[in-house]
Amino acid sequence: MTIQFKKGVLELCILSMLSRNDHYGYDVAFKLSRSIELADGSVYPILRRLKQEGRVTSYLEEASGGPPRKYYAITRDGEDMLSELKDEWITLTESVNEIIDNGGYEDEQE
Amino acid sequence: MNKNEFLTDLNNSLIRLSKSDRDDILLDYEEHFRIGCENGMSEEEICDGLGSPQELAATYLENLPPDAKGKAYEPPSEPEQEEEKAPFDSVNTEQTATSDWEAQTADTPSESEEQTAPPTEPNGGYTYPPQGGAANYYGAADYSKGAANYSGGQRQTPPPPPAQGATAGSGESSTSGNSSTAVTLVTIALLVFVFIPLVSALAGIWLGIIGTALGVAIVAALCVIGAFFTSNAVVAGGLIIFAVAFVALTGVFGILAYQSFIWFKDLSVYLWNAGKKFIKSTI
Repeated sequence: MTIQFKKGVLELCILSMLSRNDHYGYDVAFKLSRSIELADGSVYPILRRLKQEGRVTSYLEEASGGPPRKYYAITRDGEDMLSELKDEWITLTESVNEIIDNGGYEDEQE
Repeated sequence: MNKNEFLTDLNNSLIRLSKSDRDDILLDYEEHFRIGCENGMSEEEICDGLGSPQELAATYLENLPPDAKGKAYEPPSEPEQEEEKAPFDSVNTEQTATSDWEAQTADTPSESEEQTAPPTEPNGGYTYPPQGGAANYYGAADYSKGAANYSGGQRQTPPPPPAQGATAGSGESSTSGNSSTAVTLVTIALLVFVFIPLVSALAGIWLGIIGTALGVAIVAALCVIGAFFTSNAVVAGGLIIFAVAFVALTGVFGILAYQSFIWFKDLSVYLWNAGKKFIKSTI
């Protein structure tokens, strides 16, 4: 588990958001930073890489009155990656929780 | 730090990328500033929220293809504090680059290409090795922060139900008989309510599918054969329609039955795993 780990978690969050609705970058950063402590800027490198890998696409859409905004949308590949990441996340958190809880339990016995 | 300083720093830290890549990246941040301002935030607030430009640049540089990446990771072999500071100094002293960027943001992108090109050349040569060091340094910092966040989050989440059973069991250390009774009860419940029904359902669904398929095939075949040997066209048509409708309807019901079996199976597997977990955590 390296820095890749945190990136994986952010990828999971971003793909989950995009699987529900298309978002522009600011929106993704704003919504994520409300629940996760992160630098708003860090979503852009991830979005860019996901786009290069074909997991998301982007398109420009006119905002009301302003210049167009760059919206990101999930692709079929992205959906596949999302379900994989989701499974991995659930397995990992379950195992870690079990280690945390059972570790504490064994200590009490000794 | 204001918008121009942020974009200049980011642009300088990304100097190893091509001009078009950098412009593309910077566009995202320009949009971020624009929307932030529309939402009533000051440029300084937005900069604080975005994080350090050098740190962000390091993330982009990590995404480079392997050959470029190999180069990027060479410098950290001699990780020294002074080297890590180098990019900041070089960025601050390169006032020409800063003013050029300001000019660039004011002008159209096509014009800016020629304007920024000359100062970036010497800059790129100069800052390149320490920049790799910076990338590594920030990467490590980011990781430790991530780990801290992560463990913090873990502590906040409530323990899952099976674990609660385990802690409850450990709390009553004198009543070890209780937990073994619980294990026995759970085992019996698993067998009676999960294992046996699942096996029966498995046998039932396949026997049902095979039996129904055979029956439907025979009836449909008889209808078709009957239709061939009837001289009355209306009766023949009726038989054929009946055969098709019969096959289609049983097919639909068959699919529904199979789907509900799948749901039942998933539920059983879930209960089975939960029960197993409980037994494991209690013993």
